[in-house]
This record gives sequence, C-alpha cells and structure tokens, in this order.
Amino acid sequence: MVFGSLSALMKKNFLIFFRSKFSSALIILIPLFIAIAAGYAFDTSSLTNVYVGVHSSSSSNLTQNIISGFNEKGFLVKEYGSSQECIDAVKMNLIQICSIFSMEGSNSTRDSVDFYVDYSRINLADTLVKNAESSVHEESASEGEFFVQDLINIINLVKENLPEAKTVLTLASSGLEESQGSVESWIVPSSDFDSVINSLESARSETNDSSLEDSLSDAIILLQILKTNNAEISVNLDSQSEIYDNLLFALGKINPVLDLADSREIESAENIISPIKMSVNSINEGSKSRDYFMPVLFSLIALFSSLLLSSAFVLNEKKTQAYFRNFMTPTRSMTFIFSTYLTCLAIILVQFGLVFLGVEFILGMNLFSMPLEFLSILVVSLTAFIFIGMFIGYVFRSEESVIFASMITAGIFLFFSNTIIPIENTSGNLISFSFLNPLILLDSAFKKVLLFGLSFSSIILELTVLFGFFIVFLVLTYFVKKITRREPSI
Amino acid sequence: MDDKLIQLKGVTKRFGKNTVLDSIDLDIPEDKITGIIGASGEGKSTILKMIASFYKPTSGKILYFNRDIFKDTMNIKRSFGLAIEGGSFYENLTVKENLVYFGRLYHVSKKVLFPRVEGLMKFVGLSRAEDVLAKNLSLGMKKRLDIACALVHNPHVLILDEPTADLDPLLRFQIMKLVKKINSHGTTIVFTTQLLSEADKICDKVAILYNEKIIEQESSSKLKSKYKSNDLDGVFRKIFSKKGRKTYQESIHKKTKFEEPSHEGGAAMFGGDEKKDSNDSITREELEEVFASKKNKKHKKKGGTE
Repeated sequence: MVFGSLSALMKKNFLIFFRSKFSSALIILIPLFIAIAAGYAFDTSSLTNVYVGVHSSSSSNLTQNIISGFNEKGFLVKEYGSSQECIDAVKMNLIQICSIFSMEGSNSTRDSVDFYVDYSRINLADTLVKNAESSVHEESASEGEFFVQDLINIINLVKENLPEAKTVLTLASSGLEESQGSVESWIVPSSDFDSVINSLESARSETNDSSLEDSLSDAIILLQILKTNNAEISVNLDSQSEIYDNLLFALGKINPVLDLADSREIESAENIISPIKMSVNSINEGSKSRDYFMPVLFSLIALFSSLLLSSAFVLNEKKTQAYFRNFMTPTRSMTFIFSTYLTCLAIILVQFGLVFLGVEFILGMNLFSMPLEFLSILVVSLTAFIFIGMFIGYVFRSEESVIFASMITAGIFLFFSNTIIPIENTSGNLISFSFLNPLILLDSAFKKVLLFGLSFSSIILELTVLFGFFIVFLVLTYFVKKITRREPSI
Repeated sequence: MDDKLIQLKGVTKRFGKNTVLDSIDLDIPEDKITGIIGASGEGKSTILKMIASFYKPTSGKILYFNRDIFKDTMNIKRSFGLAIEGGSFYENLTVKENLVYFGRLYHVSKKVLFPRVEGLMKFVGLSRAEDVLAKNLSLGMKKRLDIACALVHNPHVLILDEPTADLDPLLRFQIMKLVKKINSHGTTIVFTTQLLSEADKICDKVAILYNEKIIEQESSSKLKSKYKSNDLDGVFRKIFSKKGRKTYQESIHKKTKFEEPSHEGGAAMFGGDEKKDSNDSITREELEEVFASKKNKKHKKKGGTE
C-alpha cells in the first residue's frame, strides 16, 4: 500500500514537473551547459590574460630580464609612469598585479621589487605573487650565479696552482735544508780560529827569524780573514735557517687549505646560490584547471539544485489546492516526505547523468573510473541536501522566504568552504567546525575519488557525516511538517 | 432519524481566546442528507474540519459508529470524502489523472480504480473532459471534479462545504441534483450552505448554527411545522424574532458580514430585510428554476456538456 501511494505521489510529481516543458528542460539542462562551458573555459593549466603592471624608476639588466620573464610566462606587461598609477590600475582592475622596481641608492647595484596585488581576489593574488616571485627569483639567482661563478673560478685557479707552489716550496725547503747541513759541516768554530791564531802569534813572538815571522804574520792575517768569512757564513746560515722555517710555516698553512679544497667538490655556482633545489610538483601530473574545477562544480550543482528544487517542491505542495485532499487521504506524512525526496533525487540524478555524459563525451574527461564510490557520494550528498531543502520548504510559508532561505543556506555553505576563500584562512574555531559543512565534505569526497582515485575507505568519514545530516534533517522535516500544517481554506 | 452515524457531543472549539463553537451537540443520521446552515463565520466549516479529523475539539467528543474519530484517523479518512469550497485537486493534472491519483492515495486497487474512475466521470458528467487539465475547466466542472475526487474511494460519508457557493442558478441546480443522486446510492451527506432554499429542498435534516451553538436540528418539515412557516426563511425570521432584536443588533456589531447580506437569500435568512416577506424568496427560487431549465434546454440544443 505504501509503495502504491509512493508511486502515485511520484508519478503526480513528475507529471506536474514535466507538464511545464520549458521550465523542466531548463532545470535539467542548465547544469549541463554550466559544466560544458566551464570545461571549455578552464581547459588549460596556466593563467591567461593576466596583466602585469610595471613601473621602474631606473632600468637595469636585472629589471629588464624580469620583465622579459613575465612575458615568457604569458603575462601581458603594461608599463606605468609612476608607482601610484600602477597601484591605482590594480584597484581599477585594469591589471591584476603591479610590480615596482627600484634601486637602493645611486651607486648600489642591488635592485628591489615590490608587488601590489588585490587580495580580495585571494586565489588569483596568491598565484600571481607566486608566479611573479618565481620570475624575480630566477633572474636574481641568475645574476648571483654569475658572481659566484667568478669566485669559484678564482678558487679553482688557486686550487689548481697551489699544489705546484707547495711542491716548489717543499723542494726549496728540502734543498735549503740540505745545503744548510753541508755548509754547517764546513763551518769552523771561531774559537778554533782564535786558538790557532793565538798559537801562531806566540810562535811569531818567540821566533827571531824575520822571514818566518813575516810568514806567520801572513798566516795570521789569512786566518783572521778566514775567521771573518767563517763568521759571515755562520750568519748567513742563520738567515737561511729562518727562511727555511718560514717555508715550513707556509707549507703548514697551505696544506689544510689544500686538504679543505680537495675535500669539497664545487661543481657549479647554482649549488652555492641554491644549495637545496626546491620544486613544487602537482600530485596530479598533467592535470588542467578544469580537472580541479570539476569536483567543485559538481558540488555546487548538487548543493544548489537540491536545495532549491526540494524547497520549491515542498512549498508548491503546501500551497496547492489539493493540499487538503492530500491530508484527507490515509497517507502517512513519511510517504509524502519520501515521495518528494525520491522525485527530487531522480530529477537531480538525471541532471547529473546528462552532465556526466556531456563531460565524458564532449569534454573527453573520464569520470567513471570509480563508479561505486562516485555514485555513493552523489546519492548520500544529494539526500542530505534535499532534506535540508525540504526542511526549509516546510519551515517557511512564502515563495520569497523559501528562495531567500535556500540561497542564504547555500551561501553559508559556500562561503565557509574552500570555494571562495580557503577555509584555512578562517579562525581556528571555525576550522574545527568545518566538518559540519556538507559542501566541504562533498567537495573533499569528490576530490578524493575524481582527482586522486582513492578508494571507498578514504571517503567513509565524509559519507558518515553526510548520512548523519540526512537523519537529522529527516527527523526535523517530519516534525516541522506536522507542526506547520497549513489550514485548508474551508 | 435514530440511526446516528456521526455524533458531536458537547463539542467546543476555541482558537486562543476566541470561542468558535460552544458545547454543540449534533447527530448526523446514516444514508441521509444533513445540512448545516448559518451565516459565514458562524463555524460551519469548523464543524466540518473537526468531523474530517483536521481539528481536534477543545472539549467534547466526535463519534463515528460510536467510536472516537481521533482514535482511528486512518480508518476515518478511508470512510470520509470531502469537497471543499475552493476545490481541492491539482490544477496541472487532467480530470482523469486527478481521480486516479487520489484513488491510489486511498489505496484503491488498480483493477477497481480504473473502471470506477470511468464510471465517476460519467456520473458527474466529465467524461468528455477526462484529458482536460483541471485549470482549464469551467467553475461548475471544477465543482463536479472536486466531488468526484471526494467519491473516488467510495466513501461512506461525503462532506461538502458550500458546494454551490459562487455558482450561477443553473450550476447550483445541477450540483444539487448530483448531491441527491449520490445520496440515492447510499452515501451519507453532510453539507454546509447559506442558501435556505437548497437546504429546504434536499436535506433530510437541517442543523441551524447561530451564535456558536446549534439552536435547532430537525427535518425541514418538522422545523416548518414547529415554527408554523411555509419555508426555512420563515423559520429563521421567527427564530430571530424569538431571540429578539437586541441579539440581532449584537450580531451586526459582532459580525460585519451581516452588514452586507448575501444576494442569495442571506439577508432573508438572518432577517436583515424585515420588509421582505417569504413570497420574495419563493419568487426568486421559482425564477432560478425557470432560468435553470431554460438555460439547460438551450445548452442541450448547442450540444454542450454542462
């Protein structure tokens, strides 16, 4: 009996819905048009038509290179005469980002660049700043690499020549040591000279032989000359020893430098400028903007279609002339509630079916790799949203208030999700309640399945919470339907 | 009149501080036509709403076959059919779709339902309009569709709220004929009206609602003999004269509707036009019937459905 009533109610709902052919076609086809239009529009992985304003107080190679970098990245560059003009252009949305280049002092070689972006377009602003920063970083790094490479070349030259110098010094020191040893062996102590000279002088004084005396005198003179020379050689030997010590000291200093130079392999300036090479990789290699956009789009279609359709259905049913006769039939409230739910679910599933076919065959995107997971998310989320919409429909009496309440509810879900502003930008308390936003749950579940291809186990939490929404709003809808019973006009 | 099918026992209905019905007792006999008459705003519709289990009385009991209707509402709903003043069906469904839809909600099996729908459409004269959207029907056809919807589950009791309101004399005549025809098939009928001539013609029992109370409930003939009058207009005039002019003046201040009496005899019903004698309403009735029969003949010549 319940199924008989349910099928009669659903048949009546469909008859009335499709009787207005234009509006029903519109309701069913609009999401398809949106999906295809969005799919074509976001069929790229880069930003296009982004205008970068540039103002440079004085031009340098670096600034010119950065501007060229902007052009290479596909940005459209517009030059401005003053920094204020450039900033004003961002405010007027003539350009999306303003870059102001300036020199630090007249003789400084260091440039600075300031970016001005409109943070009310937070997602775009972050992307632009990231892109612009990377352009500047590339040019700045390139300049730095040039200077560092010079230094490396110098060091390499030193490193190359120092061992040779060390060898020469070592040879010199050893030669010096050797010659010093042999010279030292030749040196006669001056006391020996003195004793010989003294002996010769005493012999000369004792002899009477004048010729012998003369010879002795000559010998003494010769010995004194030898003594003097010997002393000079000794002094020279001391200075040689000092040179030798210095050579040894120099070699002692060169050795650790050489050891250090040998232990570090300096291959390129890039390694010094950026010792850690950083790269940001997408977890979905080769994905286009529309791949990221589609889960969000599907979530929004589910949210708005379900809320508006179910609340409108309930309101129409409340306002219909047949309300009283429906009440007079032995049909339970739950049967009415589930007939509206099933009708809305069927209509929205048709909407989604068309959207998927469009996306699959027109845009060539593959969405059916995980059909079970996908269908589970879709049905559970639509159920939750439809019951929220039905609750709204039963609470409010007029069309205006139902539409307004549905839009406000959808707006709250939308605003406190990641779609407009990242939820991470909100306060800590709000983030902890984000799991109560069905749009966030749906978006997250869709991304896990559509983008990352994760299995059923990864979306159980989302499905459980969405199912909880369904239970809560089913109970609320039932009681509100009972409480807000419309008075028949009899 | 002893076979009491529905009994209202000491039923009071208050909305906030406003008392609409004050301890009324009413017996509705089985297989008969009972008319509840009274001015608009007197609480006639409230009585119907309570019989239909839409409102619970503030105090008192409503019994159907000596059982409290609120203890078995699902069964009551199966036994009662109700047609309200503005009609209660889907404007965007056809005549047949409406009947099939409500039949299914009353759990009538498909085997029984489809022949019954065909029969009902013939019975109320809507066979030719079965595929016409309800919104495109004329006012009289809408009334008949509403009555057909109320009969689709073959109810034991048919409740009609002002079935002839806003209709021209011909349509009124046709609807009253239809009501009589339904009753002849054994359906108990309870209906409200402001037209005394209607009640006088077809009701087996008339209940007069005045100042939140049922002041009389008898057959039309007994009432007429009790008040020594030829018609119900006369009965009302005498009731008013008994209650005194003061009561009537109070009514004027209490209910603005008396300031603009209905052209359909409402003024006479409540003695608003004291100069008018009973012959006036008889003349009007007779004129209506002449108009109805002439229009009917003319229509049949043209081959119309109404």
